[in-house]
Amino acid sequence: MKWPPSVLNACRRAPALAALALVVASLGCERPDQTLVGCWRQVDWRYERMDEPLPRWFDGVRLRTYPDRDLVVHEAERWDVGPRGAVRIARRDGEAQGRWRLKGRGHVLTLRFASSESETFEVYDVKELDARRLELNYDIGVEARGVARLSFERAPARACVAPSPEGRS
Amino acid sequence: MIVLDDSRRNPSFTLWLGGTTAGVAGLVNVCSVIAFFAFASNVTGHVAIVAQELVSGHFHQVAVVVTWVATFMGGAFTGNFLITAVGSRAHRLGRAAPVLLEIGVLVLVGWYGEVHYTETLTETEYLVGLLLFAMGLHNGTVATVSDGAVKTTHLTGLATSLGMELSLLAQGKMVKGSKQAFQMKLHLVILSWYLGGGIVGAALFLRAGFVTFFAGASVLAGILASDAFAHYLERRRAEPTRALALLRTASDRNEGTRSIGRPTRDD
Repeated sequence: MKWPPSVLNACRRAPALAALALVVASLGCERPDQTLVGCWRQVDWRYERMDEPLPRWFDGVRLRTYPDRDLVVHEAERWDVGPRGAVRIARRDGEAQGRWRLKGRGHVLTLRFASSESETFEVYDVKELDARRLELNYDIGVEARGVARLSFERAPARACVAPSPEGRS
Repeated sequence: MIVLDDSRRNPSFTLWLGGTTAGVAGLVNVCSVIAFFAFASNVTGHVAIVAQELVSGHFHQVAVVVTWVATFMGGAFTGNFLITAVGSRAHRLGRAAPVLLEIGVLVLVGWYGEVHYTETLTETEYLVGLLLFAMGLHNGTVATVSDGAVKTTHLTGLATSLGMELSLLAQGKMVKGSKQAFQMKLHLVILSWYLGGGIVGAALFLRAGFVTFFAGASVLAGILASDAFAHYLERRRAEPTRALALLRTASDRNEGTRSIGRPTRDD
């Protein structure tokens, strides 16, 4: 079957047109580091892909503290993500200030908190990030295989002004 | 190893070329993962990510990764172009140029990371792009000078070839000393040096940071230096032979002069 010249020409130009469309589409996109800036309220957390049922002492993403390291605790928090890499997390028991960075193609979020005793470094996979939603995956790792998924909704800026967080219902 | 003429290359040179360059590739790739959470090669993975991000509607990420793949291809293009176009006029310069360029890129990334890097996403995207260019350049250069025998960042193809070679070996169809047997040995050398380079790179980066990229650049500089030294030794060995040839030519010219009857001292 012989294809008409117009179809053949269109096929030859298709890769270039696709690349051009991609460039145009990406020009209008907001960068992930711009989208992340703002106030986020944690609305959900769940475990996924766990190897076994959770023992009783699991509560949210709070895990037992091991002698050699403290594991992450994030629960019903408000995250105030600043434009210059500063992050403020309002927790039940106070506030933590740290530094955020996006790595890779914008798919990895790192948080670094320094205290007088130690420095905490957290790494999350950014599964979803748009104007309204933020979903992060945290690899629980060593003692319990699985992933903790943290879901956030965009909150108005005033919600991050007051440091006292809401309790979990 | 890279600058040497093809006529002077032997199997041990190919093994050394594959091993040392694979070590550098492993070091750079692992350091890129630790520093930037992105691979400096792994084009297979990057293309799969393009598909995934496209379906998810993350067009910025698609553009970034497509650009990364393009810079890798650009590096391979540049390596081959320098060797074939420049090398046709100046053989050694054509082969040394891509290695010098790669050294420059690694030094630039190491210097910027150590001195200026503030971990913004934009900086990360550019630095990963530079490393992908360096790895494309690296792979393209080594593949060109070895006529495709050595590809140090293409571990998917290497693992495939190794699997096939091990199958032949298990069936007793691999003849000792054959080209296939040498290929299998080469693939094992590349794989083990890549892993070794990655281990060294990870250990160094966790202690020394971005200066680890200078270590990779130093290994490449060492390869060029060893080629230059080998060339120097060859020229030194060739000098007595050349001097002798010149003397013989002069002597032949004098004998030719006597045979046409010009007076000599004996006369």
